[in-house]
Amino acid sequence: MKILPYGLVALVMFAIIVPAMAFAESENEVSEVGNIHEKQTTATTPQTEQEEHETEHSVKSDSSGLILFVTVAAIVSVVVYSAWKIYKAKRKAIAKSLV
Amino acid sequence: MHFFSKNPKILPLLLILLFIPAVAYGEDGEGNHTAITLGWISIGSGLVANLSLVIFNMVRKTSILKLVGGPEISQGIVPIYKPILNFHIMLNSVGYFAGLSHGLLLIHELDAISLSLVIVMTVSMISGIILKYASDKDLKIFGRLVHGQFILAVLLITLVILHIITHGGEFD
Repeated sequence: MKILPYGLVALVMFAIIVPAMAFAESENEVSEVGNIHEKQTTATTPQTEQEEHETEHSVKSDSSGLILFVTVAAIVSVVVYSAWKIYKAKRKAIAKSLV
Repeated sequence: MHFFSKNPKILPLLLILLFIPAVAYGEDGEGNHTAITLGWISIGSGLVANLSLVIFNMVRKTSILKLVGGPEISQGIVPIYKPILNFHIMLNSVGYFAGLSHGLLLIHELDAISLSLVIVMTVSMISGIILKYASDKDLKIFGRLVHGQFILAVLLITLVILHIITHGGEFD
């Protein structure tokens, strides 16, 4: 019966989407509460302190981005290097068999 | 099993389904504590799984055994290789899935270091699976080359240390 796999897939998709939506909603609530709290603190804290906090945050995100970039670059280079090595060995074997 | 062999695409979906409740569980306080424990389990099992294989390979390759006990001892440890390899695979799988659950439980704390760690762990796991199960010769060599790259091991250790430094103090 073909309906069983399709039904199962639909059920699985539904089960995945519903908790994800609930999770996203709770995330929104948290960010809303965070925004209200931020507004309250900005009214009380001096401007220089806020600027310092912003610079620290941007430096932190820059270094995190760099780590992610280095990781992805390393993995891509490893995969390309391995593939190139296999291709080189295969080409050598083909050339040897032709001679 | 017959159903999964006929519908191979269902299995990954069911695996995702298995991990979804973990995300909801991670929202409360107790779940948070479990998530941290899962992270430490992942690190511990990965450490034991990889160190055992590295030490075994070092012992097998060094000439100390040949000098002290002759070729009999070095030949005698060859049959132990398969159980140690199985132990390495089993414990690394446990560590990977524990790490995956830890990540899903604490998905709201996701940052670039954690994401990098996930990428490196997944690449190592996929290359290991290719190495173990691929029947094509070229694919097997590809898996061996990627899985044995020194840079991947260094990256993994560095990212684990960075992850502990950046997140270690947050949940005390």
